[in-house]
Amino acid sequence: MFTSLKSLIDQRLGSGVITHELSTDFGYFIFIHQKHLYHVLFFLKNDPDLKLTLLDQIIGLPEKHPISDMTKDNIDTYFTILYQLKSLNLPYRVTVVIQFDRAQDTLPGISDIFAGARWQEEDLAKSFEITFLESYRE
Amino acid sequence: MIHKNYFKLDESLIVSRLHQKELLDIQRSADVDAKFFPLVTKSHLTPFFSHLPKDFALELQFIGNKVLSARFDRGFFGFGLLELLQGLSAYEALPEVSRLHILSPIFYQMALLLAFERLTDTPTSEHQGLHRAIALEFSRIAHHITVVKNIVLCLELTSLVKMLDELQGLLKNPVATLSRIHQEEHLSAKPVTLVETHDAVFDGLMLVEEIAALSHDDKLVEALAKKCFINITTASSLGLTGPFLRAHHVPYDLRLNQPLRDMYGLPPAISLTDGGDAWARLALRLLEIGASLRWLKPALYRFEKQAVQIDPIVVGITCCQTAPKKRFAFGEVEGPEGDVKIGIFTGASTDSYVARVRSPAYFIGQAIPHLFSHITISEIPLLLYCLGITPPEIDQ
Repeated sequence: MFTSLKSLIDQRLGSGVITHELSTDFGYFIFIHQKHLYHVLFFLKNDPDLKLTLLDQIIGLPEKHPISDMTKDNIDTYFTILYQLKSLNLPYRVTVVIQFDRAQDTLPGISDIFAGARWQEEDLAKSFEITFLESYRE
Repeated sequence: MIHKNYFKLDESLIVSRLHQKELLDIQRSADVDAKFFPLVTKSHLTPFFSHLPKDFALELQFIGNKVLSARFDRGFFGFGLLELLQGLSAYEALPEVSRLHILSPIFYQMALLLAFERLTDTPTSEHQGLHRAIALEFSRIAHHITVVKNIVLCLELTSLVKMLDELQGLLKNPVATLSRIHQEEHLSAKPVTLVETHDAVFDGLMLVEEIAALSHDDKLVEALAKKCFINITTASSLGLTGPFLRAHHVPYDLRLNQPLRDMYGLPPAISLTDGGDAWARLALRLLEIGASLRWLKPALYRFEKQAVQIDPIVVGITCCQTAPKKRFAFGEVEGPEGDVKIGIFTGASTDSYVARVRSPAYFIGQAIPHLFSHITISEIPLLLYCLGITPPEIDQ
């Protein structure tokens, strides 16, 4: 199913949402811009073909640990955030990867999509001084 | 050539404060589970406690004797861990992480081991895998027995308490035997004989079936039915896994997926119950004890027949001497309370690592406001027991 995830998202949310993708032995990784995060996660959770209803974990990684190649010069404020989602019924997982500069960007809070995001966002905010917008609507 | 590693755990390490008291518990008396992992009992745990930023807290608001709202406050080990681990080699530092959950340390240790082996592409033999699976299942049984015993003790169901004591006693010796294999057979390469273990598993299975039959006691059902209910949509949205999903008849179990599936051979039957309340989860624990014992019977025979060389279940020197083959890796196991996961991420330009831990208790803590709605004050201790929270926690 996930060989076509990019085309599915392109079709439903518009092309260019996924900047690149990666298939690993720990599931499928999609890289998106943070401005698309809320809608992509909403889609992944609620799409009847996907139903990735379980928020497994949100992981914050400081600048030197991005999964893809570094592209920005200012690594002091550069972060990678992973949103790992799972399906309850099928053995697959999708990780949504955001790479951003915390000095310039904020992240949308997703606790109204996944209630379990609240503590994790608070912890990332405290630990890394990342700003999450509480009620995100574009 | 030894590849030098620097293992770094930063303050964002996501670990529930629930585990602190479990760490204290194990200092007081050696737990059955800990014998699987001798490093835990030999190590000194105190440095964890002096760096905690705030106290554990459960805040409750009442109308009359009804809980109106509940909030669970938590903290992190991060600062303490960082200080504790700084400067240690990866080999020295990695076992420390397993102490994050001492009631069932082996689940964390296994997740860490799997992550590290994936990171370094270290192969494991079928016999090693089986050994690990056996250790996990004994640990799962011990965990569930402890939780169920706490519940029936709280309700003063003495006959069930005695039977659970007997079951716990039966399984202590086999666990000790397997623990000794770790230490002795590794060196001497003598054939493994597990006659006592086979007998204990057989007797244990009979006993757990009796316990399951008696668990339909009216007092127990009345105390737990329709309590701590959480629907499946909310549960998955909150990140609750394991018993919270299987008590809704959802066959979600990491033992069905790779790499655990290979490790187990044929995994234990996945137990399921209906209702999604505290009663359904208690019934599930008893079913899971039975399923694990049933799986152990043939698994122990297979284990005996295979090669005798057994490596301890820790991140070995081979792993630590191998340069990472990947930029990141995850290790994931089915813990008794839900998914236990550890991710290791390598640095882009240095030999440093960052680790991230997923602890089920973190998500259970976050779900307490949902679980504790419409309960009375007097029910709180019992329902905390049902969530696998230990007696010293409840005293707090």
